[in-house]
Amino acid sequence: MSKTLIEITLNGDAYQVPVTERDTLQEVVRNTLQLTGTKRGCVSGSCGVCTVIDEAGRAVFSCLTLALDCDGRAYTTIEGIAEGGDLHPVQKAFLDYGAVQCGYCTPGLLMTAKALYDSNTEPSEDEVNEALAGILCRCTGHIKVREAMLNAWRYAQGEKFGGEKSDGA
Amino acid sequence: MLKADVADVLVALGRDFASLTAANTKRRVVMKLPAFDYQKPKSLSEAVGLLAERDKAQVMGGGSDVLFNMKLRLFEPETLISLDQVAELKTIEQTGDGAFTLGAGCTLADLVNHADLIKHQPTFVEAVKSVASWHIRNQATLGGNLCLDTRCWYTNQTQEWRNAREDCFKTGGDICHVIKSSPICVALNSSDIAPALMVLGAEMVLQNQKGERQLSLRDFYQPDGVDHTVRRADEILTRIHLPAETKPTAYLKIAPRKGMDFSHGTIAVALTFDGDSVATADMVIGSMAPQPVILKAASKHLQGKQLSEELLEEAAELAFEDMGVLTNLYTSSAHKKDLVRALIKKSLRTFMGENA
Repeated sequence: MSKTLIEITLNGDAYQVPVTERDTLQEVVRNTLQLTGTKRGCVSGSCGVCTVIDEAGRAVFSCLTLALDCDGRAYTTIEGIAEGGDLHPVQKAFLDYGAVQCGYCTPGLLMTAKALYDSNTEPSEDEVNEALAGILCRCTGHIKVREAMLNAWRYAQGEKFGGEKSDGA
Repeated sequence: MLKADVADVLVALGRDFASLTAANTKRRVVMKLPAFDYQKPKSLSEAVGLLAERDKAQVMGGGSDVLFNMKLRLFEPETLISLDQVAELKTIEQTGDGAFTLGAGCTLADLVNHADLIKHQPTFVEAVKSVASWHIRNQATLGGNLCLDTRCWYTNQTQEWRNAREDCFKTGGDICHVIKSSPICVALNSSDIAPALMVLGAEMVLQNQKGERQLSLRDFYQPDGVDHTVRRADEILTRIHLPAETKPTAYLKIAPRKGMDFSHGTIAVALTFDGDSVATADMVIGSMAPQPVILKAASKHLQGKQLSEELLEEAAELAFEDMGVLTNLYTSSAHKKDLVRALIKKSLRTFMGENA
């Protein structure tokens, strides 16, 4: 099986990666480039743990993206959303609102939350629900995640990070 | 049990051990894509050229359905033609007052976020918005949804599952295992957008190397799960012409979850009124049969009458003159009948507020 060299930019770093036609973006990111923050779940577009963000700022499933289609494109993965040592507002909100259970779906949820946050810093509850419908959490549910997503904007406006915020609802 | 005993049992069952184990060990499928020749044409003419010269070629829009089905080995094209780079297919044009020409390569997110479409085509946008999830709509295309392969509980399984069972019409056999007496495949058409476009009077353009042809979406589907559209193997769906939405319309989708699920049933309705009574009615039900079903008898029954709960009941019963056998995927036939009734009554009630 012959390999083709593609040029792909991940989190601002340019890579040249040999891929075959059988590889998906998820396999390139995890196996070849060892960025294992992006998880492997159903690999069929049902669970959402492999979500990455494309150049247009849209959340897409890397398991349903052909690696060869990514030639010349740029993507953001979970490793690239904190700037320097400073967490992204949605990451801070997830921590403060206790929106993490086992953590397996968290990269997918965070990428979804970031994509929504970047297009609309103060989304309505309906918009949050719509975005969350693509990601499965098998531990618990979306209640605290939704709370975190609705309040993420506060952290960009100087909300002190590091306190317990959830009312335990 | 000894291997020889297993062989005896299989012989008794009419199955041959060697071929069965060969089929099972032929390929271990762990959801890795099969091998294919990848082509990324830059223009539509290049794409139709490729499609004409290659055997067993598959066209891919966003890939959300094609790649998944390939992972399941439901199809293993020799050539995969990615339309990713064909810019001609990604245009949204307003052609008149509220009428649009939509490129088949537009993602569903492009459509639901388009301000003019939201303003002029609310029913269409509602139908597009009901497809899958926020993420999938960022990848999936309009053309992909309209050409979506049919689905069946017997066939849409992993290769191991299918290897352990007999072939059906869709996998090269000569029987349907869902309805044993059926002469054709009864896999379901799951496009959520098709019923809406059918009542909105949309036309579609198919192109091959020789040229284009335009046809109504109502003539695109046929009642055979294997060969479910009239698209020829060398044709690409390029554009949809969507006329201005002038009639009062309604769209409903029933699915277990709001996001991510294939629908258990969709309905699109367009009604016109003459005073208080219905002048023309058009109802299309999707996701229940190999093609979106046009409810001719029920629609005709509504004409010239005033909408009332009684009329809704009658229309719901008349739907079964056109629905055919209801089975396959998700729920029982009895529940599907209830769904049909509910879809019709619920959607027609939305017109009763203003006109009852």
